[in-house]
Amino acid sequence: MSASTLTKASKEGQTRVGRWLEERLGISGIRYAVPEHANSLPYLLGGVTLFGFLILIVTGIYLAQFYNPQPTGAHDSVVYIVTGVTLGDLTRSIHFWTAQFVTLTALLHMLRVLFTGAYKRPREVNWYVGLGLLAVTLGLVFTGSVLKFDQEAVEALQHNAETAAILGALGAWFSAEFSRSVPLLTRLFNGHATILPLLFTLFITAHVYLIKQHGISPKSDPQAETLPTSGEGRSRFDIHLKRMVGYGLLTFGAVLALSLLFPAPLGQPGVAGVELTKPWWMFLWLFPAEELLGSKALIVVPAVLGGLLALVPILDRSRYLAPKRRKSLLSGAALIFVVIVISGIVAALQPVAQHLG
Amino acid sequence: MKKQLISFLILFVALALTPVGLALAHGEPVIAVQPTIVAAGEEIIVIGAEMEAGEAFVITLEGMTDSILLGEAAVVEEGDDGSFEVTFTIPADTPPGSYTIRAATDEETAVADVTITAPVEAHTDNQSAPAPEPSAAPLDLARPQSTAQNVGVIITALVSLGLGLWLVRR
Repeated sequence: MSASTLTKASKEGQTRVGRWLEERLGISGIRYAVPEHANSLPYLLGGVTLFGFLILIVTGIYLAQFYNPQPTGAHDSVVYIVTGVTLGDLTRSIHFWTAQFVTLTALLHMLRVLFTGAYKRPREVNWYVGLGLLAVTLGLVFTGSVLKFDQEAVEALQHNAETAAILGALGAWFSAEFSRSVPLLTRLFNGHATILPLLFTLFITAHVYLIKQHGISPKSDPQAETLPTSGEGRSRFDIHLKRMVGYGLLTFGAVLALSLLFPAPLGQPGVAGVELTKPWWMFLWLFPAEELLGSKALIVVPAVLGGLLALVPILDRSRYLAPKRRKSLLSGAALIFVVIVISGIVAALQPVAQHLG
Repeated sequence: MKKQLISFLILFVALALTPVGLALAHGEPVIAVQPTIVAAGEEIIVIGAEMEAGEAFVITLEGMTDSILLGEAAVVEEGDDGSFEVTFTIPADTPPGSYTIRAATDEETAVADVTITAPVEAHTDNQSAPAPEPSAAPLDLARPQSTAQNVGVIITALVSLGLGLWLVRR
């Protein structure tokens, strides 16, 4: 059955309420055609990430009502959220676990796009928008991890100050010296709650718009070539959306279970000048590089990696999507991925080392 | 178009470098504090540059309401300019928060920010002072345990998983 036949059949089956809504909102507009493979999990990872962000926004708004972003009161206010606020511990745990999921699905989404060549013409700009979204996501994770102002957060803040000093004028905003009236922690909270969400909104709007413009990238079959697929396919976007919400709800169910079994941790009040903790898994892999190069590794390594990712659509400009026809690029990417994973494992196993100062 | 692009790039670079230019302008004293986040009772190093040899700067720690005198720093000659590097101890009873380090003479002043956290150890003569030991251990919190809430969470999780599976399999 073609997409247009399906749409017509759906219209005929509408209830009175459905017709009322249709006349005013034009909801049938979302029943446009999409390729069938778009409904498989690897192609829904971006949508699942977006669903996770909706959970983060709702829980984040609730947490912000009780969080004190001053260095003097931040840790105490988190203790209060956990012990004294109605559903505070649960909300914080949902926020924490969803952030872990969102980072994971965003990274997996990027790897899927890389593997299936979905960054190729005419989707290059959307690849860069996606990289921007990834940077914003990691920025949100970093600023969020600092807010609790426990030992791990203070150490992250000290790393932040060191990298800001290395960056000089470019790192001015990230330094304590930027504002004499507002502490760095408060400004990082502002970044977490206003600047980064605003950037996320701008990037995600552009991302979704460009996906709609070009359509979901074709399946990376052996002979597949990169093409716009907008308005083509045997499935419909409303079905795609249902699957997306379905996987989103599965994620939410898993997050709830994790929140109940393993509530979000909180460390002792932070004390500056010592290094006793390790960062979260998404930053942990940088540890061995920091051992070798010092604090500048925290700038150099992500910058090199970001630069390489930015080069991907420039280096791989053939029209072919099949991984077998893009062996050199994917081999290089796989090598980097393995190095990152090994770095992460080494960092997880090695004892905490003093890098600061 | 190319001309506009070049003009834009020149403007961008100029704007990006402006703060550096202001901070390092010859003759304007500048100070830096190491580390920029320090526990009360610990030491900081205040480094001054672009100064006249022989000058003496008064170093103060300024909070939103209080100003604490840390001491003086004498400028010594170094190349064409003068500089100093002096270590001060942040008083152990300094409340955690955001502070400004000010180095001032009658004519000149330079500032840098520092964040002060809770002290590492209490003074032996002041047992009531807070004494959090730096620790990577998780805080032992009295998390509210409500059976009704737990049941509610389990039901919501099951409904979410069930609805999710139903939507995925449709």
